[in-house]
Amino acid sequence: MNRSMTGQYVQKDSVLHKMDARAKLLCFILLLVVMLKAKTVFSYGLAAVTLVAVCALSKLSFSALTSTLSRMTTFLIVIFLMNALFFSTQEAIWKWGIFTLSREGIVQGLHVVAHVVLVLVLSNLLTCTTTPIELTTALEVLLKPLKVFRIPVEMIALVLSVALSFIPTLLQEADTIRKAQIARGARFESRNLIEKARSFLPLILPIFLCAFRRADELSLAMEARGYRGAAKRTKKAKIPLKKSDLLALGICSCICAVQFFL
Amino acid sequence: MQIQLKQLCLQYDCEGRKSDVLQDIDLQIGRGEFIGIMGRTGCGKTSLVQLMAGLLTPTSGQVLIDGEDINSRHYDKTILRGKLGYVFQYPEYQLFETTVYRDVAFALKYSKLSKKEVEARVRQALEDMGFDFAAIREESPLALSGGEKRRVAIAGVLAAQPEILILDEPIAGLDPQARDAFLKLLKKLHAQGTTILMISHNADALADCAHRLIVINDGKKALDGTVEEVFSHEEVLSQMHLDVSFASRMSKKLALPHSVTYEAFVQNLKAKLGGDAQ
Ligand SMILES: Nc1ncnc2c1ncn2[C@@H]1O[C@H](COP(=O)(O)OP(=O)(O)O)[C@@H](O)[C@H]1O
Ligand SMILES: [Mg+2]
Repeated sequence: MNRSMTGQYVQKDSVLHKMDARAKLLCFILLLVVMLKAKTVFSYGLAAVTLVAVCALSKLSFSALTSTLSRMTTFLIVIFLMNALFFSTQEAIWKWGIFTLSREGIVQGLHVVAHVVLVLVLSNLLTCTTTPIELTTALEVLLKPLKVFRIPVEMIALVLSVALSFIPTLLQEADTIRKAQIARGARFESRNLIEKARSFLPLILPIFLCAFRRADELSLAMEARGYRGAAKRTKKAKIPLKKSDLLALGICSCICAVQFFL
Repeated sequence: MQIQLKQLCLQYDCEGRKSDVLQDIDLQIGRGEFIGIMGRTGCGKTSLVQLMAGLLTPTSGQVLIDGEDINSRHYDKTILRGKLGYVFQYPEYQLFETTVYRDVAFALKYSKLSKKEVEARVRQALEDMGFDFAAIREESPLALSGGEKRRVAIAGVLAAQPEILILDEPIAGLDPQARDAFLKLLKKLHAQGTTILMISHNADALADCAHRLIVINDGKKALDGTVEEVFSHEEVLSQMHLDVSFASRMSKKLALPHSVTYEAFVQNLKAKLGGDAQ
């Protein structure tokens, strides 16, 4: 029951941690394309080798890198089965009611699962090596061009940074509430499906209330301190990208380009 | 012994860096004791009592309740849930039902009590917490004031009539009247035979209710003894950022015989003044 949190920033001394968040975010998008473009043996090979290399650079422990994966096992199995059993084809290996099992279905299921795994590990790498503040600031910078279309970029950035900074608090409160209900005799392990759904009510409701209460308090506190929506904010000094950041961007672009030819 | 802790250790694994929250805690707690637990914030009090309640699993060591290891695979935790009540810090956030009655009765949902017995227990618990049963039963618990919510939440634990009652800072933030009423209720439950463990920073409340004090410092058991014994180590306690009770401090200042409760202090003072006057 004593779990630590997953997908949260982990302080380490690595190149990935030191990298400029803007460059990191761009590299992340490039590598995301590399992961999702994987189709053949070679392209999977390239994606996997790239991912392992980045993992090694991050100096993160194996458990930190895969913690999200281990929580998503059920989800992965479900999406595999959905793909494998509902693929419509003539050449079924096995048929039962609405379910058809086919070679193509299994192959597609494996593709989807592989893509999800690659993307999950990659996203985990991003969130574990970048603080929420760095991440949202970088996002704000990168989204700036959208201001031309009157999209409230600063507002979006603020919403994101507030949401991200509340995740640990809310997880902790959720954990306390879960314990409190268990101590009161709540049973979350009932087998009956409806019963099971109902048994989560004591958990879901207080967590939502908690979240709303926090949001309420925060908005009051912000107003009390004079926050007034999208007023023009003062600019921070612009820091140019370092050579190493540009190098990383270059390498990622190359890998991405190669992936299109594989 | 009702509760026994043997060589209990707890570590949190924060990304490779292990942090020791509790180290080598040995403790024996007998049936019907009223124990106060003190310690500065972050020293591990909450972790300690959550281990006893089976809400955390120890890294090593054992928790025995009535002689049975609660973390053994063969132990049925529902037995523990029936025996042990746990009042969380800020219990008001765990309310969720549509009416106060249903929320208090939640803990009895899986018990084999009849409807009548459930109602009697809920009534008793709510009245113990100072409510008018008829007036409060159909209220929404979420519409009550903060203090009322907390009292409803505590009633929800008391309704199960636990043999062991653990309370994590239950009186922090209560107004003086509600606090005194609550302490009185705890004394009554103790007189009826309930084993009580209460975490508190309020030395006066602990001196008033508890018979034994356990002081935790930096994840280790620092002091363990009667309230008189523990409060006689005023310097040691102040090094751990803790206070002794008002009576204990004053009786030392005035060079009176050491007493920890307010009543005893007043009596000693009267005796002294009376003696001087003659
Ligand atoms: N879920 C957790 N993950 C990591 N560390 C924790 C967790 N919960 C508590 N701790 C740490 O354990 C220590 C003891 O906490 P706690 O038992 O709540 O102390 P107390 O109740 O005495 O204030 C603290 O230093 C805290 O940071
Ligand atoms: Mg605590």
